[in-house]
Amino acid sequence: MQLPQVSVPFAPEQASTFAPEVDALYLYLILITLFFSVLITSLIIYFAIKYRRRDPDELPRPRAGSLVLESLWSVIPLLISMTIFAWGASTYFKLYRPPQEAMQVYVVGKQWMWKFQHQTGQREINELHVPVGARVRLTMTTEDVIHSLFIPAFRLKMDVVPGKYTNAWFEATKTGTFYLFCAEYCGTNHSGMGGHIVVMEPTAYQQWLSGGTSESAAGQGGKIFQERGCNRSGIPTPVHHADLSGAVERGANPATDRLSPLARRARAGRRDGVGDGQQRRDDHDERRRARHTTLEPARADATRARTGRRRRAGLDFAGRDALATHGHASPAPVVARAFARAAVIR
Amino acid sequence: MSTALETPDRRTAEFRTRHPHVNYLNANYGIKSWLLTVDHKRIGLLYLFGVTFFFLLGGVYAGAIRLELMTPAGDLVQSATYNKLFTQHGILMIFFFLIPSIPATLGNFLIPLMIGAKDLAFPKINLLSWYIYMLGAGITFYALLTGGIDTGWTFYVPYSTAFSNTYVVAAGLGIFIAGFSSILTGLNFIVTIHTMRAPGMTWFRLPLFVWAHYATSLIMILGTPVIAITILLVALERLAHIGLFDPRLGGDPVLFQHLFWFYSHPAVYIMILPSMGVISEIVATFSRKNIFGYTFVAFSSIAIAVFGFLVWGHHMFTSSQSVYAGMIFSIISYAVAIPSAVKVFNWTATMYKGSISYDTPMLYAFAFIGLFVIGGMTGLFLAALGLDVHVHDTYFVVAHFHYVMVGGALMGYLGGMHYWWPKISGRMYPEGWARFASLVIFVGFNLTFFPQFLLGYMGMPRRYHAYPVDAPVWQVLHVMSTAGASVLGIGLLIPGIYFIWSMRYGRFAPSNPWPSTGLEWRTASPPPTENFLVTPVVTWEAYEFRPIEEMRVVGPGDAPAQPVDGVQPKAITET
Repeated sequence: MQLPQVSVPFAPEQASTFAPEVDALYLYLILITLFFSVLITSLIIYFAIKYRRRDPDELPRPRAGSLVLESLWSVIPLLISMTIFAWGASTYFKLYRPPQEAMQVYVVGKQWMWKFQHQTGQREINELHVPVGARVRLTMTTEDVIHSLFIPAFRLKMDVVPGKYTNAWFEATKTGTFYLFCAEYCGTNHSGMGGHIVVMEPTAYQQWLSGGTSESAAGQGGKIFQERGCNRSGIPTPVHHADLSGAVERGANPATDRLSPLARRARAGRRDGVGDGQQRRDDHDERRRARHTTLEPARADATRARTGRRRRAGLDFAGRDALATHGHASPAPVVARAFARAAVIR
Repeated sequence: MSTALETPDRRTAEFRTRHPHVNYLNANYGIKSWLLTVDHKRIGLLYLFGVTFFFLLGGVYAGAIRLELMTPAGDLVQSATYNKLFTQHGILMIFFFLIPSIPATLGNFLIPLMIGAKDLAFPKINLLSWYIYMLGAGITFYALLTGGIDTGWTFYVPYSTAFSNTYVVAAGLGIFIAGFSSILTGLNFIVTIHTMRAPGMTWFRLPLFVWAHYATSLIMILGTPVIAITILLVALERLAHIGLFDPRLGGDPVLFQHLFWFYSHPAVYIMILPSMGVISEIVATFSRKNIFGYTFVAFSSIAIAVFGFLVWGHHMFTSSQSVYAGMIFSIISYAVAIPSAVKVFNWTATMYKGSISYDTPMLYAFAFIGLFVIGGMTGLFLAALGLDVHVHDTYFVVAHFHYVMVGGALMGYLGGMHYWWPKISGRMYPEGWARFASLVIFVGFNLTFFPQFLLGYMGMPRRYHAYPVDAPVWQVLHVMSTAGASVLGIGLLIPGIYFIWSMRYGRFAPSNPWPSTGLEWRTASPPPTENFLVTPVVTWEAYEFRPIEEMRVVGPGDAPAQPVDGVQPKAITET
């Protein structure tokens, strides 16, 4: 069905194929709401004035009910609401039924950041670069509590749930930078768990993939620091609030010393790709998990046998098809591990 | 026959008839006479003290939340504190104010009066349920004071079971205990309504307030055990790692959401149905008309209670539940909207060719209908699957449920408090101040919550301590909301002040000040301890208005026209 292009006031930008459709449904509901609220309000005001009490002793005649009226105002709202249902359901169906052919992005939520990984191995934190006009399928899970990936400009939201994968997809229609939020309350720094979606022209995206554009070393280092500094206890530490701008360049802050390989890499402008730095970082992740979690046997098991188990669990591991078509060796280890864990947990 | 020296027995019906000023409030004095009372009217007042206290406390938290959100940066309190603020605001307002507010205060006070009974079926259980409520509320209050809780009132796992370092179990224990108070109250109401109706008070002569409470009680006794079990399981998982919800232990976090909303969605109807009952009474009285489509309004309450149990999944459209399950929950959610719409249309039709006065309770009824239409219609936005994906967990939801909970339930509660205050206290409140306060509350309410619809659609997620600086419109809307909240806060304090003032200085209230038709208006204001000196016999239909002079003089409180020698006025009994 071709819908008229509508834009409603007080709405985020329309930057995905869903956005105009959701906005049109929103407008439809606003009109219905306006109709009924204006109808009821004006009737009440009209009756209140017209039939105001003129004499303290007046006694209006009682009225019997009317089956016709009761039926009318039951059936008409029911019919109207069924149109809303049908429209809402069809949009919902589209939102949550990802197309088979789509660019794959893996998403892992954790307190309090979003980790993204592209098919080609590039990884990002709290920022996702995507090309405009391409279908992007998100396969998502979480390392800890429930989060919810929310991109207002795309009218898209999907929870990430520990122990399972969830899927969502979108097709961006406009280049630009859009908000990305966590919409499911996830603990102390819930409101800090957000970032941006950067929608780029396909050529610019290709350039970005090959490491052409990169954010500043300080920004990169700050993010890495934030990741390393995060504890899971939910107790805020001053570490979270440290201003890192410039710290990485200076390299003087003792807190950043342990990050020096990463900082070096960041300074060199290299993206967080698959390589030996990757391996170091994964090992670091693994050690940190060993310190912070209580379920190590299950984890270690998961790590040992992740691939096999994933297959045996018969999960719709979206990466598999994508990998087959693109001939890529494996999704990068961090994300894969999180997925494997999810599989075992299941 | 009596001598001057003889001490009269104050309990006899004869004494009461001759001394109409003896009522449930002054029948005896002392703290013990209140704490050990089994009189449903006094227990209603005990609840009133409890819920008012927790309402004020919840309001303080709300004020702090609004102040924090005036600026985009999280600068007033720390994130951890902010999370406790909104959690505790929600827990107090929902479990310790909204759920008991109308049923346990007005319902407790009025149901026996309305059906012509001396008390509830189980007066001692009624007192017990107040103590259970206070115990539960006390434990939660203690948990909030000593450490607080930061899980959100929804206690979503695995955050609440494995990650939060706050007093989850203690706060949960309080809610668990308070739940039993709810169950006992519901049971008491159902048995009372079934067995203790006065002669002639058939089911279809019951005031709609009683029908609404009957429906509410069904939800209370069927739904509350589910939240009790859910909280118990969260506590067990947290303490003993039993592995129901945490996937690392083999559980499923979405299972918790199903269990939680299985109660917490019907709980919304525990909050709004009694309020709808209040509005039915007020609209009838101040239009002097029988409620249009009485049976439809009565059965719509039951329909809401029944359908209310089948729609919990509409809180979970983005939770990864099955797309097809989402569709089922969506379509049933639209079904539950119909009985609510039927009520609104019937109230409006009741006013047609009525005799409408603008007394304060009616102003609250106008406010209720207007705000409930917006609250209810925005519920249709949220039940529309594809649209809910965008607005779920944003300020749109926050605005929607505040329109229903504050614009609906609280307006009904305030309207009811004003409407029955003459009966409860025996005094009139100052009408001018009351009208003024209702206007302030209405304006403050809309200013607070309407901007939140816009914020929500623009993408502001709920439970956010800070929001983006580079979205200036967001801050403008937040500042409007905070300004509205201060107006609303002041507006809500005014009735508190003049109600207390009126208890001492208010004009004495006649038995039937408005006047209205219900049995509660056919006894003195305030009523005697046993409610009716002679069991009333009902020979009239619900909301059957009679000539005013006949209705006005009906009870033993109205001295000038009071018939002497124990002869009851005609309206009370057909002996």
